[in-house]
Amino acid sequence: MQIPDDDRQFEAELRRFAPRAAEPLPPIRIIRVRWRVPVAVAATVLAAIGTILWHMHGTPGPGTVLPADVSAGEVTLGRAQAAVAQSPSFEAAIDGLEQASRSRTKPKTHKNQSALQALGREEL
Amino acid sequence: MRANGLFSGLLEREEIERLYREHSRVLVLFACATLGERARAQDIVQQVFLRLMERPVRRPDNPQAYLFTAVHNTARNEMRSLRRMVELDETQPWFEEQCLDGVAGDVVSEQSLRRALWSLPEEQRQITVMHIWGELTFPAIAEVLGINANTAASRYRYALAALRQQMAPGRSTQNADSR
Repeated sequence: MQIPDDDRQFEAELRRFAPRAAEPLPPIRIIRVRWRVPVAVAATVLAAIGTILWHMHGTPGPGTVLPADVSAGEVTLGRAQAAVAQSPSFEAAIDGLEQASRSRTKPKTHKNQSALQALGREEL
Repeated sequence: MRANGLFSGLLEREEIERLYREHSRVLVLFACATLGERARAQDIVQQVFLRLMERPVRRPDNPQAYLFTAVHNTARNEMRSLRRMVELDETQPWFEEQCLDGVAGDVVSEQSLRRALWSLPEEQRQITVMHIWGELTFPAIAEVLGINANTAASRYRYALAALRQQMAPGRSTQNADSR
């Protein structure tokens, strides 16, 4: 190649060299799989952990063994469900829970008073 | 990634594929001029396009300049991650294998052109590739490299003079002998 004095002619000579063709683009689907799979796995694991925790600390499931006296202690969603299941009607279950709750309400007592003394002073 | 000019609408996947078909050759050459290694340059350009497909961007006013900017930034990041001086990979040609038979039996091979280009400072190599093979204007080149348009034109003139000197008759043979 004779190197021309004129810049434009020299540029034209250089342009006769064509850059090599690039490799075709890889399918985009393969690239997406790289992050989709780990994200899907992570989501599944998180969902499983969440479900386990919910079963451990949340509402008792159908197979959960309930205490015999569901009315004992505080009224929780689990106890309410159990009471509804064991009672003949919804109203009866609510009444039962209410009574159990009332029975746990103790009168206010002072340090030196017994519960009976305190109850004796209560106005009915 | 710097934006170039005004934008209108999002780049569609078909449009990105078309841009790849039209500009990938010169973009890979541009990345080669930065990194010296064709395989790495190819990876960089593919990264840029796949990123565009995964995260659509607004259609740039000058898509070619936008792509050069994206490749330039990605190549610079790659160079930083390499933490070493980049060297010319002699094994992979940048241009189609051809010898231009010139007057008086003087022949310029692909290899001698590649070596002549690599002998230039990095920015001059990039400017030369963008102007000669990318056909970018000096203002567009200036925007890609973040320099003044006059500076880009001036550096191009230096580069062209140096190339002319490198590729002068008899010079390519001397280069090959000296290596």
